[in-house]
Amino acid sequence: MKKKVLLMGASGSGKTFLGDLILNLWDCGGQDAFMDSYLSTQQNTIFSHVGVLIYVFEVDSRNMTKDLEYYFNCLSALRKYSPEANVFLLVHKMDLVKDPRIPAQVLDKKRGELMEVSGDTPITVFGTSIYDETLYKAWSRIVHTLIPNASVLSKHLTTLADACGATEVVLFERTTFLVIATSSPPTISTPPQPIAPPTPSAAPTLQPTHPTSSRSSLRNPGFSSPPMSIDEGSSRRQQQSNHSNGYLSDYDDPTIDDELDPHQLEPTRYERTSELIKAFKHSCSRVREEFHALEMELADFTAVLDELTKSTYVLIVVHNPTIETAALRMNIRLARKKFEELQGDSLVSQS
Amino acid sequence: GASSSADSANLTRSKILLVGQRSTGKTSILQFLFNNLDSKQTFYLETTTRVTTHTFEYAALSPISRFILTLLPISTIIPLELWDCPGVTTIDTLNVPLAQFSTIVFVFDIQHVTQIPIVRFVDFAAAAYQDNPSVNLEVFVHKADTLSEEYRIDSFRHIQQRVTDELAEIALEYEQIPINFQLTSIHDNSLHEAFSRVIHRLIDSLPYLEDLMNVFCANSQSSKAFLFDIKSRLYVATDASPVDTPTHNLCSDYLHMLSSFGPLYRSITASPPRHRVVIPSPPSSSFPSS
Ligand SMILES: Nc1nc2c(ncn2[C@@H]2O[C@H](COP(=O)(O)OP(=O)(O)OP(=O)(O)O)[C@@H](O)[C@H]2O)c(=O)[nH]1
Ligand SMILES: Nc1nc2c(ncn2[C@@H]2O[C@H](COP(=O)(O)OP(=O)(O)O)[C@@H](O)[C@H]2O)c(=O)[nH]1
Ligand SMILES: [Mg+2]
Repeated sequence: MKKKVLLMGASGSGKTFLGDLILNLWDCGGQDAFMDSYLSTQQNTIFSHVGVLIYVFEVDSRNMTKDLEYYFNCLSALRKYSPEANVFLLVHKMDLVKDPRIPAQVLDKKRGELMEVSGDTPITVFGTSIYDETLYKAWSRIVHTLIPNASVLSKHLTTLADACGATEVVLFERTTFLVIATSSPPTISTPPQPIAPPTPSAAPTLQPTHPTSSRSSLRNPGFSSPPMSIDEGSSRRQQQSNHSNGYLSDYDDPTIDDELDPHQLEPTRYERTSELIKAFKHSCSRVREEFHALEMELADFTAVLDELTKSTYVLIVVHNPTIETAALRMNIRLARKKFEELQGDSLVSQS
Repeated sequence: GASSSADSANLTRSKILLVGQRSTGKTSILQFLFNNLDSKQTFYLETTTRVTTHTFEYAALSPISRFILTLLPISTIIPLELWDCPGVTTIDTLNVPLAQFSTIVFVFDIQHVTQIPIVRFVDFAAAAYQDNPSVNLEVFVHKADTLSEEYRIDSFRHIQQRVTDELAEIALEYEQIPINFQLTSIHDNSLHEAFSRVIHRLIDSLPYLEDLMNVFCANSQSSKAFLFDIKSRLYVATDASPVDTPTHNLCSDYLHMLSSFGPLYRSITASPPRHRVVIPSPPSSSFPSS
């Protein structure tokens, strides 16, 4: 039986906008989106088999008491019919809070109120607006929790990153380009070795190697589908104890020290990547070309963005200039089967 | 030719004069093309009160063809000096001989093409032509986005006709003065395409570059190739096949996307050594041997 997502909130709170996004998102989850603005009499039909409740509040709602009352009723019904559901609360239209110092305080206050009304139901509160990247981040976080084996995905992305000598590997949902999972950041800050310039005469190698990796890359020339275990002893990546995913630890989590990441890539890169690709897909559609994949060899890095599974894209970012994009593409090809399997395990409806 | 150690102050720059009525979009055009100003932000530009010059050179060139971009380690320099004027500027208040300019770009606001700007342009055109018959006269019929397709084309034809008529009024042979008319807007890629054409008329080596692009297309079986200036996204040359606007737009958008990607995944530790690899060491013969 498929689980559904409920998107609720007072009228005018912005659900229609959010709904467009979530419907897309649901293609990826293989579940049904369901929207309602008010409690109906058929409570049991609405609140049964709910995987996620997303409830939208307006940051300066004129009638917060009433909003909270509705919410309380929904939550009670949810607890009765789907006690396992995840609850996400969006405090939306944050852009309307003008003073730049105030949003955090406003959000904290709302969060307090909402936690009180929610009793012992665990909730996650996001401040969002359609005018900046906050909504993107909130959705990415929600998608992430919807994928039961996100930590497994992250682990395999890390393996793929190691095989490619990549700095980072990011998995995106195909239509929305929301981040699903990322590889965990490398920790050992091996001082960057001056890398020898590629000799033009050398035959291009399809076998990616990572000179600074202590693990012999010959042992794992491509990305193979049989069970991959991360070699604990020699992995150059952060061992995630309580954080299964590098992406999750990127923000909102004070326990992770950003200083650990020797690369310190731009923090808003995922949202920006999503915007850039979507804009470019749009440009392609205007000349009736279809976007499939992207190879970039820029001054700062080499990257390949390609389809990984039917519903995902993968981005591999490499800083080592000796690694060829052809090698990255071959690794993606070899990784496809494994990721389809992983996705099959996770995204197909639970019965 | 300029040696690699050429002091930029010693270069002879092609001077381009931008004139037009107040608020026609002259400053927006320059800021949009050369300063990466977002089209929405041009709304906040203040009116220009005195003649302002901006210098600009082309640096890294990169050919794009069928979405393969290669950064070429060469540095062709096309030094430009762009003059932005207040709306009220006349030939007299300009205070420099028109003959100094290789190109004059006259900007019309497509919404307000009355007799006044037409007469003003015709005066400029006639005077510039008299001083220097090889001057490039360019007309940007700007803010094209504000009119629907049909009105846009109508008013574009109308302006061309009126300019030709007015010139013939002054002297019959002036009807033959070559003038390049283009529809432009900062809300799409038309301005990039238009300004690229303006630049082409200033590049002496254009025929050779075009030949190279032809050879490139033939040898790589590309249907189209553009040689772009990365920073401004103007194309410096293209092969002999006609430029179709959608293809140009796509290449320009692609370049824009790549440049926006650059800073996102720059690593503070890994990128610098990479830079050292990419930048070619100068050949030892490049120093002046005097
Ligand atoms: N719709 C539209 N508006 C434009 C376009 N280009 C410029 N504008 C707007 O036109 C207004 C005037 O632009 P400016 O660049 O200041 O014009 P200007 O010719 O430099 O004006 P002066 O300095 O006063 O002579 C601004 O509000 C711009 O946002 C365009 O292509 N389309
Ligand atoms: N300021 C602001 N307005 C928003 C935001 N999101 C949506 N809106 C506006 O809120 C209004 C109501 O949105 P809609 O999605 O129709 O609400 P629904 O009734 O819950 O479906 C629309 O006019 C939107 O433009 C936001 O983040 N900030
Ligand atoms: Mg101005």
